[in-house]
Amino acid sequence: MTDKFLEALGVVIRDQIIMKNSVEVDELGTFKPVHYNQKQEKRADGTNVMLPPKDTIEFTSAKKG
Amino acid sequence: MHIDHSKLVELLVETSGIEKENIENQLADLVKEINEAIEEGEAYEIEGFGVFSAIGENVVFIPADELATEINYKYVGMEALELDDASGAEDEPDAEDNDDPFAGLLDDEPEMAKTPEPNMDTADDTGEEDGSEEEDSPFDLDDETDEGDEEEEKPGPDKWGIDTYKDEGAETMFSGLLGDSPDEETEQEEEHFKAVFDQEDDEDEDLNRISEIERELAGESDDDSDDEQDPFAALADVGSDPEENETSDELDDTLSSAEEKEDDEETDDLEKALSSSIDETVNEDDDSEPVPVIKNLTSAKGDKKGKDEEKSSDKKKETKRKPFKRPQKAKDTGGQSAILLIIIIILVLGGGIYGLGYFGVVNIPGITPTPVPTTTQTTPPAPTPDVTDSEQQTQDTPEPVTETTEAEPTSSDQNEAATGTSDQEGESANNEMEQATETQVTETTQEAQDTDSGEPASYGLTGSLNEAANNGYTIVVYSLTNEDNARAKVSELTGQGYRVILAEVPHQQYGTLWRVSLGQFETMRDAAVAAQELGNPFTDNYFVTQIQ
Repeated sequence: MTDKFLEALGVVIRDQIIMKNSVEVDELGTFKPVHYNQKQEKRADGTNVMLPPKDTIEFTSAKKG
Repeated sequence: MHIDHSKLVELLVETSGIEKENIENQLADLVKEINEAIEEGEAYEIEGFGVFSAIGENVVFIPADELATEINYKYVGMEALELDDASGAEDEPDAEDNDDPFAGLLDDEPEMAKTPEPNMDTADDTGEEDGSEEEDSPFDLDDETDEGDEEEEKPGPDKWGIDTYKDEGAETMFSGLLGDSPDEETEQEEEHFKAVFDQEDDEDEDLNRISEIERELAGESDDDSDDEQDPFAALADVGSDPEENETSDELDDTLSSAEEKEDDEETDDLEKALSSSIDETVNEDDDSEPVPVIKNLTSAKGDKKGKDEEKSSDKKKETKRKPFKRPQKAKDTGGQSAILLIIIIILVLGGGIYGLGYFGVVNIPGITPTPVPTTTQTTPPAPTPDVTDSEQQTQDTPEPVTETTEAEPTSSDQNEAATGTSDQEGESANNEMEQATETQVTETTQEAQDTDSGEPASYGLTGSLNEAANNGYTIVVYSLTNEDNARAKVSELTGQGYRVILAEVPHQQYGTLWRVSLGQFETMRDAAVAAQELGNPFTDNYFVTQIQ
């Protein structure tokens, strides 16, 4: 495995996730985008805060545990 | 859209320029290494991408910080908004709207920080009172000591010139009840009273308090009777009172004369009788009868002595039950009045401060009413120079920005009166919002030259931008790295009638992000309600933030 390959792999998966596409890698698993809406939360000190939304990546293994 | 393995290989070929077979081989090797590492219970890290690790039988992927940031680029710099600000407080009346899905958004009021009440702890006061009692007691003892000193100067039996032969044993037995020689009797009486007080101190405390309360209620003033009831004064009186001294001296005289007259046997009988009578006197305080032995021996003097004993025992009883009375009353009256005065002063000061804060003389957070930014009830609607037919119809509806319209979630319908007519250029509003990254707000619309600065805030999803409404919230629908694309989106959305705000957000990695947002809303809840009605393509891809 070359660094170029690994770099390209990261860029491709990142771009596809940003475009809300899921990426499947055989025998490894699937990367998919997950969006969390902003939500209200009450902190321990009693103050209410509105948490910002968040886009993240989640991975589902091909091997079912 | 789903990118399968073959599609991924094609994308890798396009991106890296490596041959397809090489890509497939390297990808297979990578997957193999990862699986081997997972099977061995180890983690496998791809630098700049993330870490694969096994937790139990599950494989977990933890993205690297770079990847996580890049994926979440749209929300870079966003921080949690505290809802307990002034705008949040203004939303409380709107929560009555039952149809509002965000009605409960801001309902949870923070628990008001209760201002600490003035420390009126009664325990402290009680402690002070107790302390005063404790402080007063030594003075009583001092008084007693002083009086005891005075009584030493008073004439005693030895100074009367009477032969006062004293049996040591008899003197000791009488020492606690009758007056002895001034030098010795003080110490002996103190010991006696200490013993008595130690035994009955707990019981007498309650009795003392009850008697004090009763006397205070009866309005009893300090008088001579109080002096008699002062235990320590009475203690001192035992030796200082001339009558008692006389009585004790008479008893001593009687005893001594009787002992001189009687034989040894009679003396023995006398001692036994005296001891028995003393025991009776000590054990039975209420026994009012004179000691028979003494009566037999001293005839008339015995009667007098018996009466004196009775008096002295009664006095002792009274003094045991009512100690510390006089100084306590004076202290309590002064202390209570002082406490009341302090409470009144605190209340007056508190009320005054509250009043000053309430009327705005002094700015007190939480008391001083904050100016409502939407005090536009009496203001005219936003000018609409070019009014079309549809706009004319919608202008018949209530003004977009009034207190009544705040409660209506679909403010966009009402704000269509000003659609696309008089856009104005906005400027970044000075706001205390914590999103430091959003340093500049550039509002770009096609007709950005018309300015109506100075106009009251007019909120809404559609219509023209209002500079005064930049203190509110907006719905971010795009975060783009390309300014041209962002401006294209702005034009497109503006053409659809939205109020469009283009915000420039500096980003360390991407240089600049261009956030395209829709609408100006007074509260976050209004913005969230409007966002719910945006529909595709913004349904799940927006966020509400504060306009900077």
